[in-house]
Amino acid sequence: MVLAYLFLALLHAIYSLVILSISFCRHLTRKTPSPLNATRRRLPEHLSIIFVSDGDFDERTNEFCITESIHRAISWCQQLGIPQLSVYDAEGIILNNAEAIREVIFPENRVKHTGFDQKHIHYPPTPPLSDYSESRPLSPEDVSNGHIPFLSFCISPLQSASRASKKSQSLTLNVLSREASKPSVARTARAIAKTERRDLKYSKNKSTFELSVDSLQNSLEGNFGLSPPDFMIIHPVHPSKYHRSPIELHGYPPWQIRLTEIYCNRFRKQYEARLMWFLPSHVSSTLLSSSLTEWEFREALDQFASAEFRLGK
Amino acid sequence: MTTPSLLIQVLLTSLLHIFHWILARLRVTQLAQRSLLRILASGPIPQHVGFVMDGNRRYARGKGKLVQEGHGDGYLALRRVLEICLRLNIRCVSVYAFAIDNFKRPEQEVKALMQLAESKLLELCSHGDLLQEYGVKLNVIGRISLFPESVQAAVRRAEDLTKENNRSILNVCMPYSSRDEMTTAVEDCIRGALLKDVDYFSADDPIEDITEDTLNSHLMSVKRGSPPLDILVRTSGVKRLSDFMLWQCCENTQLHFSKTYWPDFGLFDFVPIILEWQRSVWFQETSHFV
Repeated sequence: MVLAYLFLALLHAIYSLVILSISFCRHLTRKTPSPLNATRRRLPEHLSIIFVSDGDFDERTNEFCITESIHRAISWCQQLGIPQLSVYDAEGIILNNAEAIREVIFPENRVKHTGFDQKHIHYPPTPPLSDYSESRPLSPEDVSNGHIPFLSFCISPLQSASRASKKSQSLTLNVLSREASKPSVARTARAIAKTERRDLKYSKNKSTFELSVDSLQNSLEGNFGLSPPDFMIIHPVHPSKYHRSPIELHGYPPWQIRLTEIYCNRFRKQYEARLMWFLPSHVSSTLLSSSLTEWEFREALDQFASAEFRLGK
Repeated sequence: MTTPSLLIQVLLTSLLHIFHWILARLRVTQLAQRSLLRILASGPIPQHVGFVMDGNRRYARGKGKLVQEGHGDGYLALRRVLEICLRLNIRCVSVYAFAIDNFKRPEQEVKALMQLAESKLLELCSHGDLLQEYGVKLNVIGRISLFPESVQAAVRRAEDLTKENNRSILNVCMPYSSRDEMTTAVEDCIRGALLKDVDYFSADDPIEDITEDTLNSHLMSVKRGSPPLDILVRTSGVKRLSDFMLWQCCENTQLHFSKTYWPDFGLFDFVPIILEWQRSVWFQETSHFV
């Protein structure tokens, strides 16, 4: 047993060396991705970004990296004409900073809506009624889904993009948290069950309840639901630490990721990280934390453009 | 001059042949493989590993084979990988064998796949074969009613043959889609809640009991005893989940996208995945201590 453990340690040592050399080679031979505005075979219709915060960093660093990345992503999406962007993090950091993000998106509204109602951010049970004119309307008639488990902003097109007329498109930004994931499916199930029970009271025939994939899809993705993203970028705030273990999805809404192409650059490691253990944490966290870079974004778009979709056939 | 060199050559080749024969006789490669697996098994091992067996057709095309042969080689790869997993003491293995959408493929291919499923299911479960040797219970997960009657009968018989086994679980997902599994779970929960309401009146509403956890426990794979999914492996370089165990793998599951086509997938593709799992377990432990 002890012997086996020794061999295992040896195996891991060899494996680390192999990984180190492979990532070093990749680093040397990495291709420069095509420029942001290059014509690609395909662009995502709905881009989703998962942000992975890190417990080693203080809250401020995490928040700063994530909001900075979101602002950058918004501007890239506007430049390229990607119509929908969803941002997710499991801890709800984005949602708690929704006000800061909104202020940057709608600077002209800053004076008008100073009191961004905190209770609308913390749900359930109150649906987050976005109270500005740009947001989508919420109709009380929709019984099956009277709640929106996420915040949604509609950003009008860039003025400067008007010369490329086809790209001047409005951008929908969805701010998701863990609440929009499995709990949202459960909430939808409860809503369907309540409607069904009410219908049963008034109808004579007591047939067993049946649910089709399409009708559940309608409730989850329909009018007030979340549409499935066709592309997903996983962006860790602390890449050197995150990439020591394989990627995960951190509780992103499961129903919507059926055909989502996933991008994560596993070789974005900084080996200096190992040398920085002696620095005070606030210094090392500013050095090691990373926002989404244009390089990464371009590389991700290149991967999406070259992906092949066969859809089971 | 030529005779001694020829003699040496003959001697050398015969020596090599003898050496090779001894190696084969002693099953050195098998021995090496097994000791490697034993070494790996001394560290932390995942409980549940899922495979999306993708790339059979591209493999066949690359080798100039028929599509059906590609699927046949895919089955051999499944046996190989399954044996590795069982030797590592992985408790549950799930494989994506056939998607509901796969019925859209050319009729001939679907027919060949049905025949393959029918014969190989029974082969796997037969007396003295892999599943019986390692005490594996076979579950076929998915909308079985979509299969032709003969395959349905084979499924029932195969499940029946292994129902007493309790060491490990093999979930063969066919014809499967995760959305279908989730919908069935939601449907089950709602049916249960509606039934309870008719039975008796109590203060708590059974509908309010439908939560994330109840939905999870109503999933087909979970109902059949599968532990939470730890690792998902997708072969052939595609970076999508393609409707496989979405609910199970969207949280606390490590995703691996391997470039190898499924029929080529073997020990040396799988060992790094296990090593990475062990590293992450150890890494988490150390960060907990700090």
